[in-house]
Amino acid sequence: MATDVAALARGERAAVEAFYRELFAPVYAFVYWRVGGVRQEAEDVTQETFVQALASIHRFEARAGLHTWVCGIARNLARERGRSRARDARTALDEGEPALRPSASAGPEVQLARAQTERLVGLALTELPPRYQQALLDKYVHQRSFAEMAAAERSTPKAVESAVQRAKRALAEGLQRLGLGRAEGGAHE
Amino acid sequence: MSDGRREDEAPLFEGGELSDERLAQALPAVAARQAADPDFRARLGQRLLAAASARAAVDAHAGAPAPRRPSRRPLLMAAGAFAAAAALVGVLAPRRGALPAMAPAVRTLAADEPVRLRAPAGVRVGVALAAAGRASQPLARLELRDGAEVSYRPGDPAELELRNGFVRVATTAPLRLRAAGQELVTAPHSDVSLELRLSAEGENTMRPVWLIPTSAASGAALTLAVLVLQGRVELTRAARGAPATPPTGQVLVLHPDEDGPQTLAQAQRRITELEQKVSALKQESGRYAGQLAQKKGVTTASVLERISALKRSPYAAMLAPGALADLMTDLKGLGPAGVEAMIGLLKSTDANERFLAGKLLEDLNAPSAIPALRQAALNDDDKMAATMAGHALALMDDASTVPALREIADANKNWEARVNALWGLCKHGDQRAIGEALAYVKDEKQSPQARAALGANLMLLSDPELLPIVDETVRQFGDAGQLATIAANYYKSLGTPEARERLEAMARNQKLNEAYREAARKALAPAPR
Repeated sequence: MATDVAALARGERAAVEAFYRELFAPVYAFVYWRVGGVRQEAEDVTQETFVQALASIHRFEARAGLHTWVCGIARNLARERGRSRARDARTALDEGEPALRPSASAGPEVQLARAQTERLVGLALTELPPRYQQALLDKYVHQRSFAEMAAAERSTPKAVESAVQRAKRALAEGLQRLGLGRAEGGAHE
Repeated sequence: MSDGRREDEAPLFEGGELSDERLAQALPAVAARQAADPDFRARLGQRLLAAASARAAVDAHAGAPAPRRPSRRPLLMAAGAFAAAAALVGVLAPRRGALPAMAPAVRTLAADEPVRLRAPAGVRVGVALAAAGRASQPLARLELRDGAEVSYRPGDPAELELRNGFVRVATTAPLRLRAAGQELVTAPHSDVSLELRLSAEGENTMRPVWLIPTSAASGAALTLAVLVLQGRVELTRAARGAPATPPTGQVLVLHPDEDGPQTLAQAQRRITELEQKVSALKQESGRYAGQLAQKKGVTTASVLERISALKRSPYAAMLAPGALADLMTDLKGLGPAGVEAMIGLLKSTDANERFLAGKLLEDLNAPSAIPALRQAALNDDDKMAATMAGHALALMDDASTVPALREIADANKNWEARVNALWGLCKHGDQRAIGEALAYVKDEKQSPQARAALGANLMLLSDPELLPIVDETVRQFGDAGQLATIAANYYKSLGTPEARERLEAMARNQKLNEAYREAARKALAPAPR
């Protein structure tokens, strides 16, 4: 990745900006699904993650990518937060914000099922390398053509199509690890 | 139906592959939910840059290159980063046209009843206080952050006392605010934030500081910061030299007087001292156990002799905990020698002795026994002895058990061993095991007893990552009353909106066994104030 870790360790503004620009969205998304979809918790844990990452950047040893390393910090913080939240759950003020969006067309059972599917997809998606996440979001959310994606990445449509397929396979494997699509030989979820 | 999908939802997978059509439906919803608030993104970016600049300045001042730092430094830098961020927010806030948004009120409380509120750690939460029938025009809206505690008392004017942490208050009527012996009265339609920090919290705490610069808190027993964002606030009782009216948009830092506030700080220090004493006493108790064992003439040989007596009926011994508890006390008194003796006993030719050794090592919780327990769990040809060794590993609070538990889970010698190993792995947050446990609970080829046992025991961990497994256990075994109660307690313990939705859906669902619905209703009942 482009971030200059040595410059980051020196606290150079440009390096911090590049680091933050590159990692904010994937790290926030990673945290969001691991704190039960509670936005305020996600913000707090994301903040702690970046503060901790920058404070300990000198310990980064480049054995894995920076994204993986930062997500490791985020995973631990989210888990600690989950446990501390469980301890504090008896207080009267723990509702937070609603995770389910109200819908006139779907009953609570359907909303629950949909929210759970979204959660599993979110968990699996945010385990992928950022370039795979971006490829899937470009294709299925922004509905960009392979030609458009290729132009943005200075690549070829064929190479982009192949990257999307690899990303899709990686997402499928992640979902299967979480139990989706495995029980009946892949014929059903 | 499976995997969180109901009959009216198309499957994500078709013919073993992810469906393009369903991905095009699911991913936009996922992307929308995981998108961050742009204001938060900008704010955090500014904070990090400010912190980085401050750090670079410190490094330059010290003339030090940036290499490895002493171990305590990162925490100090983190605290500095938050302080720099807080100062930055304090400067920026008044320049902004609109006031920062308050956390939405998740509950409206009666303004004519006293109440004490505490925000859970790591959470920002809003509440409203309103007179009966006037919920749309609350007397005050409050935002509490990250462990903050306040007490509210009705009156004319009503009174709100900040005991610790950060609270923001937006009023429609006069309100008396108190904190650490200081007193402020707000005019109607005021918006003011207070933060109270006790020095006993320590300088290295990672708890975010919202208003108080680190330099302002340094050395003070108590520090109170006041930020008036809107309206008029009068300081009716305050430390010497404080202005009668705090200026709007500027953080006013107060160090309360010597009496009441210091008493509070002293109490905090006393608690810290007591915690240190408790920790020391625990170490002492280990030492006394050793001395007691010496006085009683306990030796490894005498313990082994008693085990030999118990081995004739090891399962009965487990059901009579007194005998084992006594043995355990003596074993602990022997220290490492006791652990070594039990490790040796795992190799006994008598399967009952090996079983008892596994049980005693489980209670000793000694990481040095991990290799021997792994060996026994994988290779002991007596099923009970092997299962007990695996059980001991699963219960051990040490992450170095993970490789052994993985081997045991993969060996899949019997369902008990696999379920215990998966449970232990999930306890340590092993992602692969969490996926396997979910698949196991769904797998109808496995015995229902095993699937329910795994699901129910995972509920006891109160870990939010295990939510899909708990959901699946509830779906699969919806007619077991005891399991219903455990599930409801699990959801309640999470306290997340998702978990609350589960409880509400359970309480409403007429297709579910009444035991489930009753357990859910009980879990949803508000905690007594």
